[in-house]
Amino acid sequence: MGLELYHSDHSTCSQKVRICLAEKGLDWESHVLHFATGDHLTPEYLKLNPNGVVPTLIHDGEPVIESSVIVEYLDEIHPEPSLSPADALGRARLRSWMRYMEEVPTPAVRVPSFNRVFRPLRYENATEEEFEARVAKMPLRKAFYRRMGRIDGFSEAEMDNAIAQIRQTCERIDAAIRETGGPWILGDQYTLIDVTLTPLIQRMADMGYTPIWEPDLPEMTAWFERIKARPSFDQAFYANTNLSEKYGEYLIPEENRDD
Amino acid sequence: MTIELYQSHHSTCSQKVRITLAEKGLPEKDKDWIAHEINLGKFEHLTPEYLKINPNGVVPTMIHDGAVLIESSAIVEYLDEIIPENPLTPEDPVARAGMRAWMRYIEEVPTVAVRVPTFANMLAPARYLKYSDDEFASHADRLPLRKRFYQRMTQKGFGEADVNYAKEQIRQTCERIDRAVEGHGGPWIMGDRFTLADALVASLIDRMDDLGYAYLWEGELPGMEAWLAALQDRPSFRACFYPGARISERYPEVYRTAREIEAERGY
Repeated sequence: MGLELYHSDHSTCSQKVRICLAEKGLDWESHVLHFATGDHLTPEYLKLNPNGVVPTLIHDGEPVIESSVIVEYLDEIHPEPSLSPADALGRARLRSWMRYMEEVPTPAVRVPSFNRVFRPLRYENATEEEFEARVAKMPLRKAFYRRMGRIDGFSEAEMDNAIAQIRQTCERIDAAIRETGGPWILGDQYTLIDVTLTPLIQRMADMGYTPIWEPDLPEMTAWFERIKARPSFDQAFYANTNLSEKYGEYLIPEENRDD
Repeated sequence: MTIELYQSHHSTCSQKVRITLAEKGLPEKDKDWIAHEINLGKFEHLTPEYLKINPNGVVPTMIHDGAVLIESSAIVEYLDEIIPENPLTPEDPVARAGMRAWMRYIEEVPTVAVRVPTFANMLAPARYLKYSDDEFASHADRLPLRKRFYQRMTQKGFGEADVNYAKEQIRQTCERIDRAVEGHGGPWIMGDRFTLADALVASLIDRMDDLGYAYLWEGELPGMEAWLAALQDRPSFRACFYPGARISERYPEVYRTAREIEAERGY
């Protein structure tokens, strides 16, 4: 059977799926999309993924979309090693964590990512018309781009709220590990919630935000160290998959810039 | 088996679970399952006792034989797993992934979008207009989730750009239902089986209908309208929307149709 993945090196949702593929020991064919050239908004790609986002998995010709759905699908068709609890209640707990991950930290990490890297990289030098035309083509998340704006970026209130949401996520990971005894979020078993939170925390770490958790959340900090020691981490984060490697010049704090 | 549901009559996420309970053979409130009504207007979802069972401070929360379950999408999948009769999930893994992609879309797009006219047209006049700026800010601060939603809103609800974008998102949802029904041959989103995708989107479309926004789909999307007629004809729909379950019934003193509001407000 053939697995193909339409993805981007540095997209956190692509990274979620790559970690899952690595945990399952699966081979897959890579199709890298470039956002800068609008590869995700072409008519051909929108046929596979009407939301115009990455990733999309193609399994024997059938497209599967939404990173949370893809990882659950992979866990169903390749049950070993299992990344979901065996009992219905455990699965419900996994799924309520997954819904929280989608609603809270996934959109939150976009705010500093766009403010600090993607907005200056892609939109600042576009005209207002080009920016609005690009946003108008997006099937999802138009309001996100309009709130950001081409020049102003997200407000301080939006940034503060995003950081508070990441802090809440880290506190919940820390509390979960204390309650379950760890080493993983749901206890003994490494599951899809550990998989899908990893790229979000890694993105924040890569942008220099470890002070959000390191001083006072020791269980969460130790969890992230264990995550990074798994072979799947290095497989998913191959060279140039972190923003600091690809767009490091954008991450230098204003006060430390030479120019 | 004992099922208790901490819920609110008119909350769309409570309705998602109620329609699923009815589909799984548990239609009657206070007979097949025990209801604990949470009065959102009195902020009973933010008490320390409630936050202990639901740290997100939202409804619904389900208690099944003592086990606590949160998040409506996770609750409905759980119900479908523990009660295997009348399955609401496709057996084929690709179709199941298709249903779950619909569930993620419903959570990200229409679930969020319907809150905008709900707050702008109903909850702002019913609850928030009388708040001072400080009172409103401290209310938003108490919420474990969705603070920014409240902060962006103010006491008056949302402005024109937000309301128009919400309508665009609901229209997109209706168009996608229409295409799915036509593409899979209907009568349901995934084809001949009523699934969790139908159960989750039902209350959102009903809310828009209740607020007077049926003009977003009427006369233009025959597949979606046939789906809605079939949905409204289902016993689970009637069980879910018992008398008093709609927001127009909860706040009749402030209720006006979307068209009436638009004539005055301009959007």
